[in-house]
Amino acid sequence: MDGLDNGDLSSIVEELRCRLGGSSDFIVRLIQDERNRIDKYAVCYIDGLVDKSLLAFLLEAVVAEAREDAVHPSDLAASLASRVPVGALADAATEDSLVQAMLNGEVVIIGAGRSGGLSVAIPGGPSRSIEEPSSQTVVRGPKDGFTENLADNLSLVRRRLRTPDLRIEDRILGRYTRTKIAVVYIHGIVQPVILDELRRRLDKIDIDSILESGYIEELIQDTAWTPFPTIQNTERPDSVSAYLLEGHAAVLVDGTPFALLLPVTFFKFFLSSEDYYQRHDIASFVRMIRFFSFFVSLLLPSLYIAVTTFQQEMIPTTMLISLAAQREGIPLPALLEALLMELTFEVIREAGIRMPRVIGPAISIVGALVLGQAAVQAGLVSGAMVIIVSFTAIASFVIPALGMSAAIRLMRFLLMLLAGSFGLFGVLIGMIPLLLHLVALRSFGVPYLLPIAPLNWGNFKDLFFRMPWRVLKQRPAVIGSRNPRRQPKRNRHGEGNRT
Amino acid sequence: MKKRYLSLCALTACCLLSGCWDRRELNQLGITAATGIDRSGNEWTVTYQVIVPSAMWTGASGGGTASSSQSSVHVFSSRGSTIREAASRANLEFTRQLYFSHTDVLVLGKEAARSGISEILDLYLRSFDARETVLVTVTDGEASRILRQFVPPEKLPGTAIATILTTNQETSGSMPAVRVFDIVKSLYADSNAILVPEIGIRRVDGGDEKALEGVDAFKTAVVPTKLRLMRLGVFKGDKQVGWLERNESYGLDWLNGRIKKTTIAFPCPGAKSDQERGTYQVRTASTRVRPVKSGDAFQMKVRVKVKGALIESSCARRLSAPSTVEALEKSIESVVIEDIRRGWAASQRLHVDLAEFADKIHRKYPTAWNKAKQDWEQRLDQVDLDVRVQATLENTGMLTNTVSENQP
Repeated sequence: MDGLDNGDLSSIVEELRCRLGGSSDFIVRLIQDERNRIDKYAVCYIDGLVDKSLLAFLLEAVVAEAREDAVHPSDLAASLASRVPVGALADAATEDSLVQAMLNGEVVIIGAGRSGGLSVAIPGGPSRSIEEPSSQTVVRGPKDGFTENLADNLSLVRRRLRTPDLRIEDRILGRYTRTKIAVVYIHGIVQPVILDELRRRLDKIDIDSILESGYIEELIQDTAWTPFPTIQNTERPDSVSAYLLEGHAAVLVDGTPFALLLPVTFFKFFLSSEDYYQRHDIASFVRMIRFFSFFVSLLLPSLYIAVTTFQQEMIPTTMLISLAAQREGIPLPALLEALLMELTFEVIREAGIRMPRVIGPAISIVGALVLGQAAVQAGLVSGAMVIIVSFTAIASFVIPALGMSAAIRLMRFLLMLLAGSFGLFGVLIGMIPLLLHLVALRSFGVPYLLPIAPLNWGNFKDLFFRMPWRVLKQRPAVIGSRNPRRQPKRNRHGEGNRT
Repeated sequence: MKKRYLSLCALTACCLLSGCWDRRELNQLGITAATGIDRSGNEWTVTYQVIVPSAMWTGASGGGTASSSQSSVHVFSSRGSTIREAASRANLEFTRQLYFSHTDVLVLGKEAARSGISEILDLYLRSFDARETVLVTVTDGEASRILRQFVPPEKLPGTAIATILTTNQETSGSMPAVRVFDIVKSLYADSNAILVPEIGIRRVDGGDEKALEGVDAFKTAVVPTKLRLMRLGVFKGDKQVGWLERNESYGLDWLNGRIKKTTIAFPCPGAKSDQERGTYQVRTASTRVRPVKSGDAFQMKVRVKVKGALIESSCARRLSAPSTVEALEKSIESVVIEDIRRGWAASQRLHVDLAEFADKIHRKYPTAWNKAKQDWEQRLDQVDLDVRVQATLENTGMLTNTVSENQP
């Protein structure tokens, strides 16, 4: 399709209206030439996608131009560009591009008797203000979180990384949603191989809609056949900045506060951005707690089942007696008892997320009293089982990444079934393939269990312990090894501080 | 993909078809705290002390309500021509599967100990759930009698007996805590002998032993009878051949180097009366036994070193003087030497090598041992003991004098 013939302004406007199916939010403002009383400009936009106050400036400028009786150059852009005080200007030569520009939140100006149209980007409309992220809270650390607005989100990152090396690549995905996504990385730190692979995978996406970054996560991950997340997501701009500085790339998606971070290794899911803001000793301690909780959350119910129904000789005598006493008169075998309690907990958990906030306290009372205490008093479940299940549940919330704790939950059920069938032997039958799977897993080509398998001692400084910043002179190897130095080598133990 | 589904199907089938393997729920187990084995004629009688968990638990009411009126153990016996046969017959009268992994103590009846315990030892080493770490005691009578006794205030009599044995060995060292494994080891040693503690019922003022068989035992402060460690059964091979008194076995414990911590009561040097005595607490003790061959006979050089403190003294001596300390040490040494001699004399009397000299001679003089081993028990009489004890008094406590009237 070649350039617009703007002989008749109203026919073009009709054409645009027709393209949009007569949608009521398509607004046309016709601006007349004062003297001749003929339509000179048509200012078209979609209501709700443009910033109203900027629009007023824009209209003022266009009206002023229309009032003047100058000789008009045939090029619209040339005549208006100097007068329009706001927004980025672009030429839109075809009807298609005009429609698309409007849908992107731009205002389209068409002049009578001029070729082409001019689009002015003044996006606006309703958006949430920046709030504390709800899914990843910290005690110490920045409290701003991403919103649904991509431009805001990018500005939050940019404000933390004021370097020309921070690069942002835009693209649009989703045939219907036309969602804007941004690939963000730091030039010179990110591995080009990973970046190319990311671009390649993004190029391959051809889908009607991208409503959340989860769509992209699933479409670009290495394999769908794993319960473990191979791409990290976060609501925190400080987290994104830290990852970018370690050589990861980020994908921000318009319409969701969740940014994707990749590639990512298994142990990254146990770290929180707060680890780096707190003192290193307490951060290390908290990390140990998280890894401990990981094992509790994964193994505790299955070990309990295995040991109480198969390997009773492993329990100290006095403990065995008290466990046996509690099991007197319990109608269900330990496996069913545990499954029942675990499923009950999952139901309560899901209910807690889905139900309206107002009913919240009701659920906790029902959950705690009815299902905990009453079930024990009624002799349906043993007290020990309630302790096990609740401790497991609490431990699963210690893991900072929701995706990881979901994976552990799934694995837990599998291990419980195996433990109920084969005892400790069954737990081992489950754990070995699990380990094999983790070792085989890749995230954008990076081994999932990175500093452990393959072994890399350098990365241990920031793994189970978080060493003091004076020691963390290097970026993590492999992902960050393109630009390995964080601090100069010679700056040992605060030599610079001592003067 | 097909392969993946296939292996997944196989895994699920494995889980479902196995039918939970050999699953045993906790409430199907009869946890046995103590086992007693008696023999009458050709039959074994096995007595079980099974824990009643609901009586043990004092927490909030779950399945069974804990009440003090319920007995915490259930004792019953079964008979059979072998021990396992007897155990399998137990289910003719008992609801639960007997479970021996948590058994703490094994009580051997008089007849069983006399006629040989190799079958019992075999059982404990062969079966999966019986453990060779079970403590062993003998009794001069029927084992079932011992198992019926409560040991107030402990709720589990079996575990209480085991605790008595281990604590006694740790603190006073007068009774060895012997495990099934130790007995098996002694069977393969050259000395071929071991001492096993005896447990018996001590009557206070002619009390009735029935009084300790019920839950009522917990209701009084003073119980009429008590389970108590008494003498030591001497086992030669797998048979019991006699008894030793505790003071005799004590000397043998010195010879075997089994003493780690103990207390020694000794007469004060130059004491005018028997009442002037002191107590020495041994903190570390070490014994070295070295055989020396002289002609056909052997001489055993025994060197004992003890270090410890004075914890009680009525000696009218000034303890700050080094000469006094030396005199005290001499006195302690002579007590230990006397103990050792008494123990060795008992060993010679029974013609059983309880001091395990045979193994030491075998190691040092292998060829001579080959000759000596035929009539080793007779040769025990000719073994000469050269005992030297070196006691060190490291401190005298917080007093340097005594508080008695006749101050030095």
